[in-house]
Amino acid sequence: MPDPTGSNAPRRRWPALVYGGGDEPDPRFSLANERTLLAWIRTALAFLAGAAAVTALDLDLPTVVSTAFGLLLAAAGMACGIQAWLGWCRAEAALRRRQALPSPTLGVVVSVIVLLVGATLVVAVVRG
Amino acid sequence: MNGAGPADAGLQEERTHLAWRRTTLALLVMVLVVARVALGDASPLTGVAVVSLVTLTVLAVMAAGMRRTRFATVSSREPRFSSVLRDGRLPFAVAALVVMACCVEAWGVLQRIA
Repeated sequence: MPDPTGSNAPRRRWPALVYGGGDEPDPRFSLANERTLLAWIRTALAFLAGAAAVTALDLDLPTVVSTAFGLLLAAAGMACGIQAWLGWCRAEAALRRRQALPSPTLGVVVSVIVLLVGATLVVAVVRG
Repeated sequence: MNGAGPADAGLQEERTHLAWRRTTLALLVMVLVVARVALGDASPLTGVAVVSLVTLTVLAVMAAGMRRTRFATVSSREPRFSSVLRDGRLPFAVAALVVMACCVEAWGVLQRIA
């Protein structure tokens, strides 16, 4: 008889919001979800590299502009990191319950930040 | 579904394994860059301590991530499954690491104009 409190019992999986219900999905889909998480992480790392580059390199930009760039790019990195986690949770829960997969909500935030950075860059180049 | 089923689950595992490797390697590079930013004028001893700690953390995450993919097709009721973090803990850890690195970078950007 399986003893749920014994030393051989499987640990409860976290978070409960994902694993509280539903069945084990096809491992291919769970692995694909994992790769999506890692892709968002790599996107965040690219933004992080951009933020580090903007402040490390001597681009001919006024301090306000380069600081704004650095902060915006760091914010985009944060948004991608948060989306990585939220997206993984929601997709894994949807896979377990055989529901439709959610769309990446924070992707909009990231796109807006990229637009802002691009527009500021255009203005700075045109005026400089 | 196209009926390929379990036959190509192994390829998915390998793809995910490689994704963990390249993601955590990129993470290691960026976390070290950010650590360099954050340390700035700190003493070399502090620098070595922080860099070592950070490197070990990321390498541990890398090892766990690569190991995790081997258990994707193992039933969650098998005893050896419970020794692997085949749930949301590692995804959260890696996402939290990235978000923290971005926060440190944002702080570093602000420090530079102070």
